[in-house]
Amino acid sequence: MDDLDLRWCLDRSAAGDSAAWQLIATRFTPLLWAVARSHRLGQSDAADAVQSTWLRLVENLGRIRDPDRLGAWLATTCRRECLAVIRRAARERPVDQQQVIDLTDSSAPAVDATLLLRQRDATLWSVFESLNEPCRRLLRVLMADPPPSYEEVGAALAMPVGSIGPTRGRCLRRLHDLVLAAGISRGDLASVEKRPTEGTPSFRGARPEDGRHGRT
Amino acid sequence: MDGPDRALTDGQLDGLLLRYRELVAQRDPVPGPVLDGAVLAFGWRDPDAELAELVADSLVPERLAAVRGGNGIRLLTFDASGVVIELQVSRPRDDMAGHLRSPALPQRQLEGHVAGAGAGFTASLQHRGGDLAVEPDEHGRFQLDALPAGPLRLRLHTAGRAITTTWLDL
Repeated sequence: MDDLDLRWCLDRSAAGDSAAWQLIATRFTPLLWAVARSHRLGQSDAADAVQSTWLRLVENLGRIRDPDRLGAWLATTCRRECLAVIRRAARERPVDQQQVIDLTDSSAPAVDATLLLRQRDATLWSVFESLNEPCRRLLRVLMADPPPSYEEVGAALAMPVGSIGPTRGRCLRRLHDLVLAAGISRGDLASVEKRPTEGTPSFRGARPEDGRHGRT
Repeated sequence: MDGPDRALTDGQLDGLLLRYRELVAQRDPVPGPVLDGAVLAFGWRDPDAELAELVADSLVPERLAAVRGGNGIRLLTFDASGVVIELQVSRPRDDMAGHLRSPALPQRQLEGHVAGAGAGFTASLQHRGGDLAVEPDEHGRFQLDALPAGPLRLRLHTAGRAITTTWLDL
C-alpha cells in the first residue's frame, strides 16, 4: 500500500513505538472519516465511530496477520462501529433524524472575490447530497484522500469488490448528469489543481484512480 | 440515465471525482480532534493485560424495556480464560418525555459481576477522561452510577493477572 511499510508500522506499534502508530493513524484516519460520513453520521457521532475503530486496532495490534489487509480491516471495523452508533441513536432519539443526519456544513461566510466560486461549490455539494443513497455513500468513500483501494471500499460498505468499478462508473455518470442539470458547465467541473486531459489512461488496476497526491 | 453522457470518458469521470475530492477537503475535512484522537488512542495500549472477549451481548432493549418498565437494559458477558465478567447497563426512564431532545439524557448505570477472579480483585472503569474506581463487594458485585460518555472498558487486577474487556460503546 503506497510507500508506507505497514508490516513495519504494525510491528513497531505492537512493540510500543508511538511514532510508528502515528504513521498508521495519519494514513487511515481520512478513510475512516469518509466511511463514517458516508453512513451519514453527524460530526460528533462520526468522531466517536472513528475513535472506537482506533481503540479496536490498539486492542488487536498483535493480531493483525496480513498488513496489506489493514485498511480493509479498519474499514470493516469502522462500518460496524457506525452501525452501532446508528442503532444506539435510534434507541436514544427515536425519530429525531436531524440529530443523526447533518447534511451540509455551511462553513465560513463568503468573501466577495470568491463568492461565485463558493456558490458553485455549494451547488456541487448539494447536487452530491441529492444523489440516491447507494451512490452517495459509495462516492463519499471514494472521495477519501488518499484514495482507498477497492478492497477497502468493499470492506467499508459491505460490497463485493467486483461490483465497485461498474457502480462507481454508473454513479459518477449520474452525478455528472445532475451537475449539468444544475447549470454547472463542464469547464467549471475541472479540478482546480489539474484539468484531466482527454483520453488519459484511466484503468489502473485496483485503484479507483491515480493517487497522485503528495500526502503520506 | 443514458443519453449523451454515456460517451463520458473514464478520464472525465476521474476528473469529476477529483473535483469532488477537493470539495470534500473544504466542506467535510477530517476535524483536527479526530486525528488527534487517532494518535492518542495508542495511549490505551495495554500489552500486559489479557483481553476478555465479548461472548454475549443481549442488545434487545426494546423487548426488555417492555418487561422492565421502560428501562433500556443491555447485558454483556466477557470471558478471559475462566474469569467471567458480566455487565448490565441500564438507563432509568426519563420523565415520560419520550423524545427528549436535550443532551441531558438520563444517566446510565452499570452493574457488574465478576466470577472466577477469586476474592479481592481490584477493578477500574476506564474512559476517555481517566479511570473510575470500582468497589466490588465480597461476591464480586459492583455498581457505578452516572457512566461517563464515550468508549469504556473494565480493567481487572487479580492474582498477578491483569484483564481488560474490549472497548464498549454503550
